Amino acid sequence: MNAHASARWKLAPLLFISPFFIAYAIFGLYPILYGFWLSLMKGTDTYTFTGFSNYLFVLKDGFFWKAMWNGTKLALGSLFLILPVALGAALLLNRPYIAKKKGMFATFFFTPNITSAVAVGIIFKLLLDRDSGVINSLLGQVGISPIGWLKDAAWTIPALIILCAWKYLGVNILFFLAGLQNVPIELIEAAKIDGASPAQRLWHVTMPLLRPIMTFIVFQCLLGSYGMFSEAFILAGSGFGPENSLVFPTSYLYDEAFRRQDFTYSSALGYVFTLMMLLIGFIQLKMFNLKNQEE
Amino acid sequence: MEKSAVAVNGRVVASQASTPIWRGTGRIVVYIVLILMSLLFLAPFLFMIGTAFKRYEDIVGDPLNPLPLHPSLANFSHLFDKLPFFAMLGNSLIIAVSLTALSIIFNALVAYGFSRYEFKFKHGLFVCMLATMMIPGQITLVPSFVMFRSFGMLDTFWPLILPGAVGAFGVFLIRQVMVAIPKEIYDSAKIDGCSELGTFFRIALPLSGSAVGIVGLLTFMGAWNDYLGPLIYLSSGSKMTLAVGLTTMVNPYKIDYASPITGALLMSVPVLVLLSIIGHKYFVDGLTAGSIKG
Repeated sequence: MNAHASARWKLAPLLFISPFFIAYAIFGLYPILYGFWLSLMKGTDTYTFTGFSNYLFVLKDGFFWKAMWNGTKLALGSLFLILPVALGAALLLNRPYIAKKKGMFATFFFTPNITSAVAVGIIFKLLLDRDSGVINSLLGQVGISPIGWLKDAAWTIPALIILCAWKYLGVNILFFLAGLQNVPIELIEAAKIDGASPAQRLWHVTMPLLRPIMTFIVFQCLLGSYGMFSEAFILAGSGFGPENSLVFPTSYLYDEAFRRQDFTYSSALGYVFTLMMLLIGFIQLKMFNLKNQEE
Repeated sequence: MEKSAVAVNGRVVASQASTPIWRGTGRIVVYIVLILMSLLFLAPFLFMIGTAFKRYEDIVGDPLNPLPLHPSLANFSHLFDKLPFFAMLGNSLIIAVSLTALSIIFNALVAYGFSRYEFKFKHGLFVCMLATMMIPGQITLVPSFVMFRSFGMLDTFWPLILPGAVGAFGVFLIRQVMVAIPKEIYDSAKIDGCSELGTFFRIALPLSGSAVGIVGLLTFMGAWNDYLGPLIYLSSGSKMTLAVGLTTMVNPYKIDYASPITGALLMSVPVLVLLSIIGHKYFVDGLTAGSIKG
């Protein structure tokens, strides 16, 4: 009975965790390997082997790099506009006297995040309309002439950043709030006694302690910016927007695969994009680790 | 735990050198900033609700007025005329509900395996699982499509349900709560003759209700709001989901402002209802608790 029971004891955990590994093998690993095979091919119905020529095309494909550059612009906007505001809001919400109402405020900020990108896209398309949009009407009240947010190629990315600020500020506030729970009050108190100003306390005490969650937040932010699809696609009216100013890697990939039926090239695009994301993630981790070691 | 931190915090503030009047003013300023921010976050929702009930001429002619001065249901009837709205709603619901049910069961089963037992390569397997979160979905977009095509599953709900049934993030969130369940509870259940699967259903699953709830909610929202998936996999109008269906409402002759936003409003209703049923405290605390321990 004992041998039987211990065999079952050894088998049980593997049975419990197997769903993940089976599902990932089918819906993750297999497509990843198959995608690599596809990316080495050429053709639509019958594939012929072409080696790495698709990859050479991707590297020389100005349109792909434009899409990556748009991702970079969105990432910079998110990192330097959205994250600082989120940190500021989280610091305000973390004040002890807000404690009871923290959940209520956080919910207000978080609701846009779980609202469908489609609904958000539809709302902002109206809000940002050049002629009858609320935002231009408000700007008109202070004498600013109408901006072609979605018609003028120079303004589409700022328009997208406005939308993203609204949709993604809340979740970043929540992440920062979670990180702030790890900042011991005693440390702040000690710094206060030593005569540190609020700015010094933020920079020298709070920020270093926030670094682990910052690594995560910045990574999410980069991945989200480069991986942008729905919001930009809907703002651009199921396309790339004026002068292709709203093309992102995913929308280009989608277009190549499902409008032009070029699965092989699209697979190569997916591979290059993934490798670049892993590289960016790796560089970012290194940078944050280096900073940790300096202190 | 959080309460004691606040209590300590309270003492710290009380011991501050600033005078009560200054402190009071500071607090009011903080409240005003937070309330203004909340209004800024609510405004687009209010705009959406207002616009859905406005007449066309008021939407174009008087955009700054958020209130529908001549409330009308014309946008709704227009929407229902132009789109098979309720069929789409049904499709979205079928996908979201079945995916949520599957993801709760499977994520919790895997989380149970990782939290209840000690076994060889456990740590390595867990790290492997987490590492899959680093790989962006773009890499599988095309090959998954080709795979599901060879399965004969195009224009069915399967490609939208199966891949999402279990994932590293869901397992991680539930495991965080399950590891905190004391071994003694399992042991006593075992003595009482409960099987391994029995302890899962009777002890582990109910005791990790908060994390399971969050995973369920996030899965539901993810499926309900998914845009790229249905866009790729569904082709016939009778199978279409709300998210994609609403964006197909483009009138070539007249810019149709109101109908899409009316649809957006109806599409957001389940989200807002779920959020208010589950309650903000539970939701926000659950999310932050999950990420703290990470």
